[in-house]
Amino acid sequence: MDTRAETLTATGIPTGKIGVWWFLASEITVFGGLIACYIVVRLGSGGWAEASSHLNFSLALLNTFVLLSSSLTMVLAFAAVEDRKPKKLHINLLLTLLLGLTFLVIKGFEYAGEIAQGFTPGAGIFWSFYYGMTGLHALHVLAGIVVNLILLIAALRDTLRPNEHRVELAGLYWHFVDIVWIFLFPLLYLT
Amino acid sequence: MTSDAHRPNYFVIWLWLIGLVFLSISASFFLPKGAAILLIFLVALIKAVLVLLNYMHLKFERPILYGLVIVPLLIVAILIFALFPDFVTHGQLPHPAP
Repeated sequence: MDTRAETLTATGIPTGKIGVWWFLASEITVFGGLIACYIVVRLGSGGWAEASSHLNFSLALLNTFVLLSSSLTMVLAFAAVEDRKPKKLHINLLLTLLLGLTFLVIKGFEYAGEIAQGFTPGAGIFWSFYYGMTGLHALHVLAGIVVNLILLIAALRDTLRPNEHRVELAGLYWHFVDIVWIFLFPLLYLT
Repeated sequence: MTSDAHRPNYFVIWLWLIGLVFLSISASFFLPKGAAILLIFLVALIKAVLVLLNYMHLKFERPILYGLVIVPLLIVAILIFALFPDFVTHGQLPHPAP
């Protein structure tokens, strides 16, 4: 049996791609479950808007631009693979990686400021949800950074060529992480 | 994979995403709370669909992949509605008229 990631499944979709989409489907239930719990618990009790007003909106907004921009560079890396432009691939993978790291550093500053004010994960139900959801999301960003770093090293060593489809698969994951933030930002900072 | 002819303009999509962020923020400042929340989540949904279709290339994929996105979303929707009576209305049904 051929088990390479580019082998077509019975659906006509390559094995690797359908595998990543299955993984993302499971991730939708993980983050969706958390978000669903947040919504119903918030609707069922008061005082959340007051707690939310202590969050650092400016840093979160900056992080939103950082993550949206990292999605652009990630998809440009994929386009570079299709266009067979290795230099463009290196630059865009590196930019994605750096933007991901920037996101985590900014998030770290945000956490530090909140903890300094006494808003720890145990400070109340809002803060438990806040640290739970953003912490899990940050771990996903970290995982994406590791994957992109591996791809960048392989691309620089010129060993990525037989597995260039991995850039597209890593991109699917990275964009999913971006979509999660698209929902976390208004849920936590705008309502 | 996408061909050059079908490839979306990724930069324009990014501009849309940034513009929609500003629309959400404006809504949170200038609209009444109920309308603002509705618009903010509608905009978040539009942004997610833009990323899904253009950056994740779902619009070039076979319909079966849409199922892999829609089914877990349905499960999440069921979860919300299943939890609603306990947490939001605290298990209380409206009293019947005497």
